[in-house]
Amino acid sequence: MRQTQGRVFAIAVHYMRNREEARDASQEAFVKVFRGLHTLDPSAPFLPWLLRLTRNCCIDRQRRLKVRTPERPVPINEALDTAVDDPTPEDNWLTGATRRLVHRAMNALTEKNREILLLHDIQQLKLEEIAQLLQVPIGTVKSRSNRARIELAKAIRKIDPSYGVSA
Amino acid sequence: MNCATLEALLERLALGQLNPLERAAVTQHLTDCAACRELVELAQIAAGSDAQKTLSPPDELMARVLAETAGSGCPSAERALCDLVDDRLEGVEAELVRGHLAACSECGALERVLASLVDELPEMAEIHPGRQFVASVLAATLPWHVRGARWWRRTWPRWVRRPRFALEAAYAATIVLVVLFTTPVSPLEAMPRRAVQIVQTVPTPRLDDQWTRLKADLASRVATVGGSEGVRAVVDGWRETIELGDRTLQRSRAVAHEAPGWALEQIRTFWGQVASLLERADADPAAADQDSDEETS
Repeated sequence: MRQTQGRVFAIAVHYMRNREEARDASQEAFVKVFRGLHTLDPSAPFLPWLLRLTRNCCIDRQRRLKVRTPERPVPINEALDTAVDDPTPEDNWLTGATRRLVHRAMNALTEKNREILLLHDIQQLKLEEIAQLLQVPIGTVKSRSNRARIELAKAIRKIDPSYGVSA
Repeated sequence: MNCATLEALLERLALGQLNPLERAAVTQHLTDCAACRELVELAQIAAGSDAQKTLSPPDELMARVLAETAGSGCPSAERALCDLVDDRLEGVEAELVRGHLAACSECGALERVLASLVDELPEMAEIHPGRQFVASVLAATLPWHVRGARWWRRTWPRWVRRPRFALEAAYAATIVLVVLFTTPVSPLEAMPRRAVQIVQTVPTPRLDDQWTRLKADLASRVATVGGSEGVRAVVDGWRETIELGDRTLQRSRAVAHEAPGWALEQIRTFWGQVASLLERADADPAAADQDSDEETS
């Protein structure tokens, strides 16, 4: 659990966009993992199964939350401020600023583009795994991923035209 | 591009309908492939166009074409940018896209952002949820009664330590007492009145004193009875009664600290029976003899 909690929480933060809700969704996911470990196919890779389960938990939770009175969502930047586990204060500023910029740009994308970026480019899942997870053909995943990356790059350029110049 | 691809584009090439990227790819291929050059010559002759212009492209043609078509080539370049960044683009296509990037500043900047994101995005795969996360997950997997007990142990001290806890406790206790003792349906509703009555009642003499007096009374009566058989039977009955009284008193003492009301009631009952027996013996010794037999049995 200690090895995968960061990934699970990152997925939850992206879906829930609220640190507390993400924490609850992650906890729910891990509780389901404990209770459903016997249903896991030992020959199948664990991480995609875990991420799929987390995604489903987040989606279920979002549905439940829509029924309730909407609360003020905590901005993603605010969630990341306390969530990023930075090693040193010097690194904090740079890494935090870059990640905040990327997150701001991601917020400008559509839900589908955000999701494909999260699964493919951030969590590094294979195209086949994403296709199985999202129930779409592999070709669709690939084209959607390319489109999402281009959209993200454009959104970043719009926010900070100097991004990537020094790279 | 290979020969088969060129053959597929041949008709559109002859009619001049290729887009800049296709045209550049064809030009590149024709510089290397003599067979295709001949094919194109034939096709353009057949189409009535000037084959010489296509077959002998100037050396800088590609760069000039790309420079002129920078704007219109952007969508195609964008589609290929991700593959280029991921090193999945090879050969002529890669060169074409790179050529476009060199000529188009906007696409070039986009490619640099994408290249940076290749390293940046995977680093965002993990966000630490906090130190207490593991503990909270493990706690959530415990059985409900264990969770409830832990919650109570954790919450109770916090409640008690609050400054207004005493006030709240007094308030709650008052409500409970009022509900218990003043609600008509409550079984404890009559208790305050009974308590007051007990307090106001004259204290009952001690049981030992009562029994001592009663025993002395019985003994004096035994001493005064006559010598007939019936009377002796009555005396024997009274003696048994006195012994029974002693045993009852001892038993009552044993439980008196738990149920004083019950013990007192037992003694009173017994005392009443003995007193009525004595009164009847005074009035009619023969009848008392029968009564004594019944009591003894």
